[in-house]
Amino acid sequence: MLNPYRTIPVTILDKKTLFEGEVWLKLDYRLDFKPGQFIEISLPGFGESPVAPCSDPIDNKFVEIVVRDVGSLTRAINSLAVGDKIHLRGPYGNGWPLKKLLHHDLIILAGGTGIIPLRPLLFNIINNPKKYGKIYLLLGAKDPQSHIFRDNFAVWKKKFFHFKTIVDQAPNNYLGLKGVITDLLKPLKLNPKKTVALMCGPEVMCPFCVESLEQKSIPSDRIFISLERRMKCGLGLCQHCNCGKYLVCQDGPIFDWETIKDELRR
Amino acid sequence: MVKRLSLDNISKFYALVAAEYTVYSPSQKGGLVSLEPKKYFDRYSLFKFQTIMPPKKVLLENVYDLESNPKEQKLAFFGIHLCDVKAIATMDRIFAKDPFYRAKRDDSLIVATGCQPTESCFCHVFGANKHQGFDLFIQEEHDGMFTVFAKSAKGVELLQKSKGKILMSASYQPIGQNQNEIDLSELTDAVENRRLFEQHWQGIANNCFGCGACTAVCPLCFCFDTIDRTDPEGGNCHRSRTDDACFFANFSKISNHDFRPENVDRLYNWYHHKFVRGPKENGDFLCVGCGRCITACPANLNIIRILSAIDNVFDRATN
Ligand code: SF4
Ligand code: SF4
Ligand code: FES
Repeated sequence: MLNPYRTIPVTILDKKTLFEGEVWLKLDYRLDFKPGQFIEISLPGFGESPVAPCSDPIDNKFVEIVVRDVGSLTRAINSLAVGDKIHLRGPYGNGWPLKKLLHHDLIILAGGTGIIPLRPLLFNIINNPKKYGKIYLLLGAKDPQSHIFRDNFAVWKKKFFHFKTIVDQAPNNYLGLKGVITDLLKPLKLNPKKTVALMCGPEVMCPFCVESLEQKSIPSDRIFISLERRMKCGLGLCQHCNCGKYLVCQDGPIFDWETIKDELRR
Repeated sequence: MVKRLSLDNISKFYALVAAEYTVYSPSQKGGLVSLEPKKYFDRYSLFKFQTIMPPKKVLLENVYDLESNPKEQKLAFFGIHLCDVKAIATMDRIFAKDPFYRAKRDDSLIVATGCQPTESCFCHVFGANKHQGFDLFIQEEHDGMFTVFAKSAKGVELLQKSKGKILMSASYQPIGQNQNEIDLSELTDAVENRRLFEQHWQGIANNCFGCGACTAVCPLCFCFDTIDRTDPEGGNCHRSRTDDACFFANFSKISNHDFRPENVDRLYNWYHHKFVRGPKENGDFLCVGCGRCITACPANLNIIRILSAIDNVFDRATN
């Protein structure tokens, strides 16, 4: 019987600090994953932690991840150098419901690092422009530096029908928009009959976005959210990840709002 | 196959099992009766009262190196009760894909026996008093003899080797039961409806220490944590699996958020898992009514009273 807890050592091919405490790693590993799924990364001695791959799922020669400096594991990983090894296993979870997105307009909302599990989907959309309708991409962040993947902004602006970013706080000379993500969402005219919403970000952001989407008559079963929980095993066993009656590592991490809204506070 | 054995032959039968298996059987240890590996039959092997810890303590023993290949083992549980047997059947479904559980369970043997209800058990509520799920069942008769029922191929094979008269027919004595009752028909709906019972849950949580004793003794509590340990010699590192308890603060905490910050959130989650999520995920409640959590609770919290009270309020609220 296969041991599902066994990890694979993989070599770090490239490493870049996105901004203080957030490190991008390119790993020498072919990972067959769906956009929105997650993996468990680890270092012997420092335990495991769930992260979502952020690379193009088609280009599966390598996999890219972003590691946030939040605990001892991620801190240890961030101090590694190119050529060092980290461990991983996965992928786990359901991923974004690609079939339901086909030929729909997509309104994609990401707060801060919430863009990470969405980025593989953005690659998918760019690679298959005919499969999707209009793409609205809205990104919110604490401050201008917190917008990770700024290198991609030019491409996204070109490829997507509507692309806007906003920040909470910024120096006076900042040329971009200041405010919250719903400020970007409210003025949009969306076609409620053929729009699907996808979001990922701090959980407090989501109800506000949902409210605004519902005002635009987008039904709650066409609003999808990626949840962050303490996915310790990824296998449906350890029970650390449940959200109400769902196991986020098995039934999620992507849920439609209709299904999950009553579970969030349990 | 059914045989009638004397006490002496039961003791020899135990030795037969022990020749093939590592046998865990109720044993006296420090004034308590617990499941321990034991080579010889003694007067605790068919103990009528509950062992402190259920068989999960053995089947889900902490794993030293989660990335190693589990070693297949031949374990026998001799003298466990029907509630624990039912709990093992549910665990089998939950841990079907876990190689460490399977390595202990796949070749294991269950020799169950009858019991005497305590004031805190309520197995009949969950149908956990049925004679099923074991390889062998040993029933003490009024004349001091024992009827042994073999229900599986490996059970029959072992029983064939033992001395004793073959019986053409025999029947199980019903397992004794007490007055404890819980109405299950609306239990899931009632537990699911947290808001209706917020005061009730808060009241219980105010008394609960969050110590997790109930989870440690429950045959159907199985959550775990993984911890990396370094060998004192050699400096090798292993990822180990250890027991956890959903009652502990930080159980569902991530770097920037705690999803169950209050004791009431965690206590509620325990009941919710057992009576809402359990039926949804495993087709069965994660409770067999063994009553161990009642015995173990230092705050005298009582699952029977807690569930009955919810049922009553729910009845009043919905009718
Ligand atoms: S919840 Fe209590 S009564 Fe039910 S199986 Fe667990 S320990 Fe026994
Ligand atoms: S044993 Fe009692 S006090 Fe301890 S966590 Fe369980 S219910 Fe609370
Ligand atoms: S991460 Fe362990 S059960 Fe979901």
